[in-house]
Amino acid sequence: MSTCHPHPQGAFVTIFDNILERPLEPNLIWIFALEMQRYMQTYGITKEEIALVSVKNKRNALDHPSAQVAEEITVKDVMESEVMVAPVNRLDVSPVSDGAAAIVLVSEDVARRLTDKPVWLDGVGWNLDTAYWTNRDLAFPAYVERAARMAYKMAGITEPRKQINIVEPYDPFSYKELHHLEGLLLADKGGAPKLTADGVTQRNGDMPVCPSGGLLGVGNPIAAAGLMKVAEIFWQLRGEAGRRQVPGQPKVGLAQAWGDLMQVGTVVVMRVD
Amino acid sequence: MEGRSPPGTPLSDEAIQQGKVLTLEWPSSLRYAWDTGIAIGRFLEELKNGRIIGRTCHKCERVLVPPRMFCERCFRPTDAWRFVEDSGAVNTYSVSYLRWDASRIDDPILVAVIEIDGATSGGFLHHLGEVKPEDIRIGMKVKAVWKPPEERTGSILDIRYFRPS
Amino acid sequence: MGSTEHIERVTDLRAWPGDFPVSHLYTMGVAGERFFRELKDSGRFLGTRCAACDHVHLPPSIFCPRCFAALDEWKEVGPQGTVRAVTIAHHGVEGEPLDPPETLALVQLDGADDLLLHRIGEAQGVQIGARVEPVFKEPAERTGSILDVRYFRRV
Repeated sequence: MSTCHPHPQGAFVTIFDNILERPLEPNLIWIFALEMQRYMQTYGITKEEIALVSVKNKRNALDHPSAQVAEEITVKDVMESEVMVAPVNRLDVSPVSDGAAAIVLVSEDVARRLTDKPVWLDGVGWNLDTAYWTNRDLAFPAYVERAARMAYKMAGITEPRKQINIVEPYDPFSYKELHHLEGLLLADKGGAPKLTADGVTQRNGDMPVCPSGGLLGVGNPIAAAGLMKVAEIFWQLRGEAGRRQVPGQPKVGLAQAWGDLMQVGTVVVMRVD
Repeated sequence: MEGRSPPGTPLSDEAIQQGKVLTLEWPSSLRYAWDTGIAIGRFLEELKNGRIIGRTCHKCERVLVPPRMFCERCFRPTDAWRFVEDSGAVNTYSVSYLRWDASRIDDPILVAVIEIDGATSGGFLHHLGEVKPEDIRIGMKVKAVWKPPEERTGSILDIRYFRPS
Repeated sequence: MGSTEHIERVTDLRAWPGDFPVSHLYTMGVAGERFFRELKDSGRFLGTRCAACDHVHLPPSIFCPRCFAALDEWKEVGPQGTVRAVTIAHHGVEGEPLDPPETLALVQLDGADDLLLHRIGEAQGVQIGARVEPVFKEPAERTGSILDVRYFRRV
């Protein structure tokens, strides 16, 4: 995206409705700010609670060899960073990045020939909601829930909060990690901030979330970001995540991506034997 | 994966801006003309008349604004046209210090999703006016401020903005 | 079952115009930077040679796309070359008629193994196998672009 001139954000004006929204000259960040505002107001969540996600992910990213914006920051730093589109501040947003990710998918017998620790894709799910985003409940990503249910059913997951050991939800903005955790049914509606504040989502917590540092800490190559998360879960389940490794030998992980005009949810459930 | 920094030759912003490296700018001359279709065509025509129109889905018992010719929930064609109010409530809002191309502005743009009275579940994106950012509230009642009839062209901008009512 | 609403009159049809409002700013890369600087400053073409494949790549790159070896052997190629393929375009990028039509060719510069796409000027009767040479812009007009060569013409 870095070739877009004068700024990649300008290219995203094309995702809005051509006729009813582009004449209003929207900036991409508007959708996130509007959604974040609704999420905060519906559940009484503060900016400080949301800022903890940026703090966690940017710190986690210090251990990632490809991290673009890893750093040690505080909630105060987030609150005092430049207001872009209120309530979104600069440190609530992932950066403009270029990146790529690749995975190799093979059949079962090839996998067993190639390695003694294959990672299985047990479940996949996807859902596309209406592009009329202004008619949807912005406080809850229903398309993520439907995608998650599809993946859980395929993977035989009946109690996700107990059975999923490690999660990489899509986190282009700090509040999005929380929003998506709730959509994935891994937290109650409005309950994800408390999990963060209680340390449950830290690497050494009961349910590590974005141990890689996520998009907020590593970078956001947008179209490659989903696969980036699948790759992270792969390394984590095989114990190959180096300094980012979540302790306790996680067996089941989940990667989730999101896209377009707040409408696409995709979920992958992965497992090692 | 561990221990290797990503390969490549880094370039700084200055190197590009000061012409220390060669660059090529390709202006995309991509132009489009989208058919507005039946629903949005009528919606725009009614905006020119100073009115907001929606479509009903009898099965889901919904009044859809913006209008569409099929209901995306039950996949039936929608049933009838229905005029709705030009007033509503703020579903969510934000205060933008960025223009569409990420350039900064000091005088922020106030933007909101307006739930239109008479429509079910929401409405559309628009600007707010005649209000200070700190006074905006979710649930705040608003009314459309229209351009005078002779200035309307059949566009979402025929409404200048929504103001608190 | 489809909708029963129809647009009856052509005059009721509406179209909404739009565009793609950003441009793209590209840098040339390590090999490209050298290739285009050489073209701009000295009017010379450079390729890179892969010793393992015995192949001179044009435009040059810092790795061989065939065997992935790192390449650091730079070689001047051309300026003359041989036409390996030629065509005449009667319509432009946006479908507009070109008057006069434009002749385009794939030229193999002497010493290079890959072909270079460019325009042929003074093009009457140019055929495959024709020997051609570049016609450059004046040095002051060059910007470090493939268009620093105006066209190729028969020797």
